[in-house]
Amino acid sequence: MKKRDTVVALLPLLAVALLVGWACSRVSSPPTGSEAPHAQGASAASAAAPRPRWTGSPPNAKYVGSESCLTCHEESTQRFHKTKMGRIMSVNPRTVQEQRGCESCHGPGGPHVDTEGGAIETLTTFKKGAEPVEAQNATCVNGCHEKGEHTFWKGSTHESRGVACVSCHKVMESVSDRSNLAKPTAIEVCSQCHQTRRAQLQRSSHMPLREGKISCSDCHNPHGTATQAMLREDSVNENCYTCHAEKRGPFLWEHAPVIESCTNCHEPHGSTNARLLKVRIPRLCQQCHVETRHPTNPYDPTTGSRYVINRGCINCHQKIHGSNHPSGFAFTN
Amino acid sequence: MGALLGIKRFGRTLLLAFALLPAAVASGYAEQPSPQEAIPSWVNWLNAGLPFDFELTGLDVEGGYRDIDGRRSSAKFQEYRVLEESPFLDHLRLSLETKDKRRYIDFTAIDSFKQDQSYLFRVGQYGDYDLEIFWDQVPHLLSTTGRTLFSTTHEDSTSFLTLPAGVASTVQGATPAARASVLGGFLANAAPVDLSFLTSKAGFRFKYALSESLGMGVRYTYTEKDGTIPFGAGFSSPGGNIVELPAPLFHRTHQVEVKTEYARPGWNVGLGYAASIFDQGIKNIVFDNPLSATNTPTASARGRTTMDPSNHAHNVFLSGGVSLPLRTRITGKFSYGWRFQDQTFVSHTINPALAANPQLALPRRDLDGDIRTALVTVNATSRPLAALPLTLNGGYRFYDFDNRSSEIEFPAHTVRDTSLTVDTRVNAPYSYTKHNAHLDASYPLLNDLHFKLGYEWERWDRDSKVREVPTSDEHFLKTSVDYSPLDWLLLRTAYRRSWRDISAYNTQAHESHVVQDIEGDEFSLNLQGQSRLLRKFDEADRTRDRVEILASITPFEALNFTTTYSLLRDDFDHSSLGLQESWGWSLGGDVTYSPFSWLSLFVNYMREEFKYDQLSRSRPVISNVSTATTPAAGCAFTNPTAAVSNVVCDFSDFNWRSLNRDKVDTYGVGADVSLIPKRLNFRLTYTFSDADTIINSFNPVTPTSGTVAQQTSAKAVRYPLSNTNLHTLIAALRYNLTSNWSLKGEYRFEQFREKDWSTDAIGQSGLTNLPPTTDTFLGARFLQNYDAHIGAFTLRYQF
Repeated sequence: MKKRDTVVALLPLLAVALLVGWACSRVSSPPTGSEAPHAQGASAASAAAPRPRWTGSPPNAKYVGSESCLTCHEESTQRFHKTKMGRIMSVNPRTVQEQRGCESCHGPGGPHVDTEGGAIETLTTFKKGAEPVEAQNATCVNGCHEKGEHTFWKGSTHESRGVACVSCHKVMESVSDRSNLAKPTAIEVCSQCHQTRRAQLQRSSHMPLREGKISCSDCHNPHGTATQAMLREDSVNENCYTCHAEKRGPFLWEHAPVIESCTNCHEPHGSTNARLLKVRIPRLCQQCHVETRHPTNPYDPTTGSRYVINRGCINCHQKIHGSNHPSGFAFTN
Repeated sequence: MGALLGIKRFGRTLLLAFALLPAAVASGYAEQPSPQEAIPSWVNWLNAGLPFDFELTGLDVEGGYRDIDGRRSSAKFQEYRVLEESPFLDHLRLSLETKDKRRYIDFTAIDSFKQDQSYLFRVGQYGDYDLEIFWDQVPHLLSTTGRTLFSTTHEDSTSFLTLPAGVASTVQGATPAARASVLGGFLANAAPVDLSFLTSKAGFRFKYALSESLGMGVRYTYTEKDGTIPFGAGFSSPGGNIVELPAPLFHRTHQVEVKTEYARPGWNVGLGYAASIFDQGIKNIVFDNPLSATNTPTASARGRTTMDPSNHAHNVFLSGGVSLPLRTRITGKFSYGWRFQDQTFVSHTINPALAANPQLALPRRDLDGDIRTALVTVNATSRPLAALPLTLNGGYRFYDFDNRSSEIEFPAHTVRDTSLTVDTRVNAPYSYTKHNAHLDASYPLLNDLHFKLGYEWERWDRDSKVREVPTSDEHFLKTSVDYSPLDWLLLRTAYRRSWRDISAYNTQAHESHVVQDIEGDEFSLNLQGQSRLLRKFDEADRTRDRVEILASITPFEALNFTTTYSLLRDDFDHSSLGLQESWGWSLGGDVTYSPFSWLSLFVNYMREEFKYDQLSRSRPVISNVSTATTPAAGCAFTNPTAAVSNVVCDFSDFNWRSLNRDKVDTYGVGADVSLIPKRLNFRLTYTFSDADTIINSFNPVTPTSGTVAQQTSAKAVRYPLSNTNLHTLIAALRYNLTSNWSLKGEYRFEQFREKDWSTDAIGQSGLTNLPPTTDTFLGARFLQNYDAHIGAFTLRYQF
């Protein structure tokens, strides 16, 4: 009941935020950046003009070459050329698309050049709201980024929910050490939407993500995979075995729920319970063990019971992930 | 000692002076123009002499001195990192390119010369090949309070943990009533033990574009874990004594992956092989029994336990995608895997008084473990009609886990080296198959309103000899709406409801397979095994609701507000015992505001709650009762035909319920301020995370059946509150002295607070606020308060 009250109380806050957002959007000037949509140094009046609706490049639009872009966009071009993609396009283009340089992504610049910085609607600018996300993403994917890591992009969760490539990647300059991320680290990129995961990194029980030793993309491929939750390996457990190969077995005595999924017991993104457990021991084990004798007693921890203090059930059942000892059926050795 | 203090004081004074320096210098330079990027002249000189046409194109190196004050002995402070009062090299990045910009060399070093160091060397030719060589270390400090009497030696792949001479014999010689205190006396002199391990990874990755269409890649990683971990062991059956060991950990893993891919416009296919070889360095641990110096059929002077066995896994895979007419793309993956494990079994016991028993002869030398996995997945996405923006997405996934390991019958076993039990037990190689299929349709109802509706099906086929539910089907209905009516507003909502139906629930499946003969018949098994009322949560009938909402509001480029809400609710409505219901929800938001080019601010908050409602029943057993007597109401003999039998009691008023709740609040606030553009920057961040774990257990009705002792055991109580909270404040001031040189002063405050009923008072003999027990613990606290004031001054050079 309390939780419901909390949610109900927070809904008006959301409504207020929407209202404020709407109000701000009415009184604020439109986005300005170092390079306005038309050209550097465009007047405030022209910047304030409504953006023309994107049409895409006309059928006969001509490619004019990247050199033409330098006339007005020298600074951003220089930045781009320092990126890996920029280097490939400028010094070792392997395909026709790569040879087109700027126009490979932004489309043929003929109309834009012919109108001295106009016809912006014919270009793909990758700006928010400028073109449909599908059109932006198609520019990145088709012909260039649809193999390897991107093979399963079509139909993936991110693709089907309309997440734009540029939501996570910044192509025009290097912000991250690798993968042209929009922010310095994958955690910062992912937590733009997955805010709960960012909060979970602060838990007392966590993997070394916040210390920078592993990253979201070590387990997940955000471009889609053949496994649920965009996991890189063929199953949850195979993902975990990449670092915890000792848990792989096969063991003589197997603990069936362990084989099916590590996430039956563990919350890999961070937990308030030791060893990333979803529920504190002994209650976690007692969710499934209603045999006779000691597993079924509720216990009073203040009595110092060996079944709950220290590491609880694991005080004895150390080999809970499986045992290869001939007498290890109870996972005690 | 005095000299040391003097040096520390001097170091702190120096640190403070350097920290204040940027501010002082800032005032002097405030009017100066901002530094410009430039290639230093020494680089031009150096580049003239570099071989192979390479030139230095980037250098970024930062190092300095760190000072730390406060209470920081807690393992949590340095769990995965190394922070010391010492000079440090934060990072070094070096970039070289050939003059024609075709080839590159990069080198990155982070936290050099410390145990959390990492190095990466890259060399390649843009668009053609890329070679990475890396080395990375991750420390994992588990506890700083562990103490032990054991000393460790190694012989071949066995570690021997031995007690000082005379401990076991003295404890054994004491009266049973005095043993705990005698053992406690020895344990009071236990020596500190380092409970930590270090993970070191090294390897390389190589990618090569053989042609425009054909590429290949190789990856190799060597991982080594080395250290000491707490390890639960002991002697005799439950209720026997616990011996927590400082177990040595040493194992290595080799991982190799080779793949190649051929891609043409519209289609691509990849083929690969991956192997993982796990090599256990310590196969067995032999440890002394603190309570017994002699070997008898009911006591053992030493115990033996096994570490995880060496194993290896192999996988071949084929994946690809093809674009078809009607805007259709089909992707798929097939993979087949093998997992093997054939480590030689140890004998049942190290106790010579039992080991010679012929019934303990091992039927096989090893498991001959063999698991085959197969994955087939096919996905198709199509927008079949040009005029209608309807997108269909369907797919099927098949995952088979086929455990072909040997099934071995053991006629007898030992209970932790202290007794022999004659009943046949058979291991249960477990196999399962999982099928998933889905079909989604998405359609833009309006230009900015995308609606998606889908159905998904998941089936588990489990080995009915091992698991309770042979077949379960889960049906999902899911819908999502993405609405972006305006440039400044994005709303994403998703709702999914699923129903899992099970074919049957055979409570005794596992026991009846593993335990071939327990007191002679199935009757006893039914009584002593799992309660027939239990439904395990991972298999049971379930209704699941999942809600996800995201709203992102960007009224102007400088301001963004994003809020998310998620809910996951499971209702196990057919489970009489076991998990009844679980809830997890989170609600939070993020505001970033950059009103000026020199100022950006952010605030975030997240509330999470996880609730698990479980129902269980205390089920006492009275051992060795004459069957001539009449058991109490609700109790039954497990073997009524024998003269003496166990009695199992099943009283409904012994039910207990537990509402387990984790409640977490996480706050963050920060600012980035450019005090003097491109010259003086200030960054402030503060995060606070506060987590409560509440276990509220109670009996729905007061236990009145059975004996007073049984009622006491069945009595459920609310557990003490567990709490952890972490404050982290970081204030950093960076001053750019020139275009290349900058100074940084950073102050970091961390405060960690915890309350944990399970380990706060843990000592070597149990809880320190209670009389000593005959158990031997390490007294290792994994959570401990700490306060740390960390000051650092760094000097950075970059171009």
